[in-house]
Amino acid sequence: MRLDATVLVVRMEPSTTEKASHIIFQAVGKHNQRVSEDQRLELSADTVLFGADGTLDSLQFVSLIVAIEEMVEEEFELQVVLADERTLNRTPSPFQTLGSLAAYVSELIEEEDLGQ
Amino acid sequence: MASNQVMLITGTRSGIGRFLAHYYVKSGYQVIGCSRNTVDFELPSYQHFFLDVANEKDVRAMFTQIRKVHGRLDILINNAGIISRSYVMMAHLDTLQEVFGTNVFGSFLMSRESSKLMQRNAFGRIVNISSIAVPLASPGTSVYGASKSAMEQFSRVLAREVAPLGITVNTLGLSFVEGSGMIEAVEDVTITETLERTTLKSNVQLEDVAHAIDFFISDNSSKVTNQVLHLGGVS
Repeated sequence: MRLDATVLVVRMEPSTTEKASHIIFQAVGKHNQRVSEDQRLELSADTVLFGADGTLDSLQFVSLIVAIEEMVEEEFELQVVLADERTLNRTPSPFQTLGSLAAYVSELIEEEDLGQ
Repeated sequence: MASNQVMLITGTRSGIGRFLAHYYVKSGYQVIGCSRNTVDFELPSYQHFFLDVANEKDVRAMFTQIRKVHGRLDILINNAGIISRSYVMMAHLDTLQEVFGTNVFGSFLMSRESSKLMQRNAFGRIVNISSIAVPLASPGTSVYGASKSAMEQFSRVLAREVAPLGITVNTLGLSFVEGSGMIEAVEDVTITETLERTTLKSNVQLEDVAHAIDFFISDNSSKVTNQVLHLGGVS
């Protein structure tokens, strides 16, 4: 019984990727409040973020990335830089969809955690 | 107008920065200042950070604090600067690195982090302090003038990038300012020769600097951006 309880507790702790997804969805929620209805992003891992099929213009993209950086810092007490030259040239781009961005944010958090 | 506006001034330990900190506290702003060394004053509505403006980690940590405490930043005055005078053939690389570290990298970091905070409220005013050394290009000012020229160039680009976010970026090019410590740092003959090439041919006062900044940061100056204003006038 005690083992089961322990397992239950472990399962309730969200993974870094889940936390990253939550942060990204929160940031997108704030973005959606500020833009017109046709510019809103669906809260789905498959939502295309940036590029030919994306709905974000470059300034909206920058604002969203800044908001995510701030929320990562508040949640994890880590300073991460999401968009730099290295990342912007990466293939496939981590900014293709909300799902790929969540994976990338999670990767950065784990890297930073190991580095501290 | 300014009762809840938050202003960051770099280099407040002495000279122009110190004057501006006192002036804007008195004007009703919440003022944040920073310098590499301790300050010998305390003011209400004033918070000081000890840091090197070219240290990215410390700069980001300061902005984290500003975000947590104030949740906003309305005005940035990039005042911190190092003056250097030397002929090119006698200039040391170390000096070049130190001057560019503060005047260019520091201003760049402050502008970058400020823009992130300012875009939250779709309002911001960035004022960069430059020098008439840029248009005059006098002998001995290669390192200092090049650093201020670099600052002016990134200001021009930044102004275009952040204009849609309600943020203005302007540059104030200073002549010799009485009471700032500049005059004591330069030989009399250099001052005379430099002033002869300005329109007014005289020093400017600390109050003139504040007046020009007041114009740039006014709520009514939303259409004033990407400008360089030279106090004393140069042609």
